[in-house]
Amino acid sequence: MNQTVLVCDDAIFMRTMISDILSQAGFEVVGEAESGLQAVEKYRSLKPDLVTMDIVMPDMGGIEAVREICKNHPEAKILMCSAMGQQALVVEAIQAGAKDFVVKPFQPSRVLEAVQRVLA
Amino acid sequence: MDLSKYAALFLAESREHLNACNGSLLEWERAPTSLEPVDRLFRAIHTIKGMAATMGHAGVAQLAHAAENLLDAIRHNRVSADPAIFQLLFRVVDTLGGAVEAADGTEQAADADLIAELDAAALASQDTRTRAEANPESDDSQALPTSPAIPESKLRRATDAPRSRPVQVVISRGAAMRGARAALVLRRAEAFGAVSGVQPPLAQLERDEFDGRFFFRLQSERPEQEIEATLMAVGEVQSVKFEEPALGGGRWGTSPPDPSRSPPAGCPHEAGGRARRGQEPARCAIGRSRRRGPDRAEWKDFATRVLDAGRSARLPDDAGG
Repeated sequence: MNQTVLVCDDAIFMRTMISDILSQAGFEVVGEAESGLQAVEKYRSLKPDLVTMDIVMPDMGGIEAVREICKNHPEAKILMCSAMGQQALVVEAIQAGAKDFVVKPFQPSRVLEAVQRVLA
Repeated sequence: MDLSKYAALFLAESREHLNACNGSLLEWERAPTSLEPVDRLFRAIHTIKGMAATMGHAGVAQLAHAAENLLDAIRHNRVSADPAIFQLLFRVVDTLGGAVEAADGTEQAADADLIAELDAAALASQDTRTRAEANPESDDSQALPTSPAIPESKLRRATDAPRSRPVQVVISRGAAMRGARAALVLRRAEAFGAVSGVQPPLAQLERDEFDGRFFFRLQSERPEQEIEATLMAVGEVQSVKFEEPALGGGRWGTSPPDPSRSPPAGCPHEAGGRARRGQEPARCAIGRSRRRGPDRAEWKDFATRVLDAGRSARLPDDAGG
């Protein structure tokens, strides 16, 4: 059975790209969220094996969403997706419970390596 | 990776965001102290930057990055932007609009002048911080949220703990965000026991002001192989060693001087042998790396940084350093 993923990013462009990378590698994208609030709700209902989470989103940013999800689901496996130049926010996300991170622009191989590490 | 299928999405979303930017700018101009439109602007520009970088449109990404920095500086300092900044940002949104339409996979040069204006404005706005509302959180000029990777209470307790082992970690060259990688390593290490004495200090790691090497103490009875394997599994970690750091030569956290490199201009060691007349010789590293042990100034510097990390109460012996 394929492992399930919830993709969270406020840009359709990024969600499409990440979904493509993951589904081509055999993962099943079971949901998408475009805000931190949606991410928290969808995690609760879908309980995916993995979450990819953008840092900058409206209506609750990625870091707060990580915090909320990890509070209720400490087993959550979240991969932060960050643009360059946001290192302090990435560190904050790690402290909030994110397991790893990738930096845009994405290289599919790096994304998949990070996903493997998070799921290990 | 074939990016052509995303080109239409990139264009459509960028246009949408840029339209919204104009609206946000107008709203903000009418109410310069309001934060909502600034936040929306920041997010929109940030998103365009990420998409452009992904598509390989470096010029667009660079311009967006410079605008993002200015917006971030304004956002955190709570300074009301002046008319000049609004005009600058309107121009940026227009220029981004043109750049996005023109982006067709061929390399477009960034608008260097506009980027320079944005950089200057970002620096200038930080100077007005003293006029802004007092923000007790930001005494860091970058005004980015920082928080220690290890809670301070843990650091203090670990100071008195006996037999904590030294751990030296090197993050791989070419790793993205080495400071964040280091934070991941430290977090993973915490699972084994108390972590203390992080060098360089955490704030420096978070700003990526280090050469990839960092050090900490770990209080744990677990076998070294297990700790090493776990920390290596964090990813993009080149090595994990259980050794005290070697002091001497350069500052901790920066590369020691490499005598095989050509000396700086004006250095008495450069070819010709003499400093140019009238020019003060540049700080020369040749010969320094062969010195044994740190000098007095380096000991004081190291001690200050150790104290900053909240560790030992005892300064190293200051006499005859």
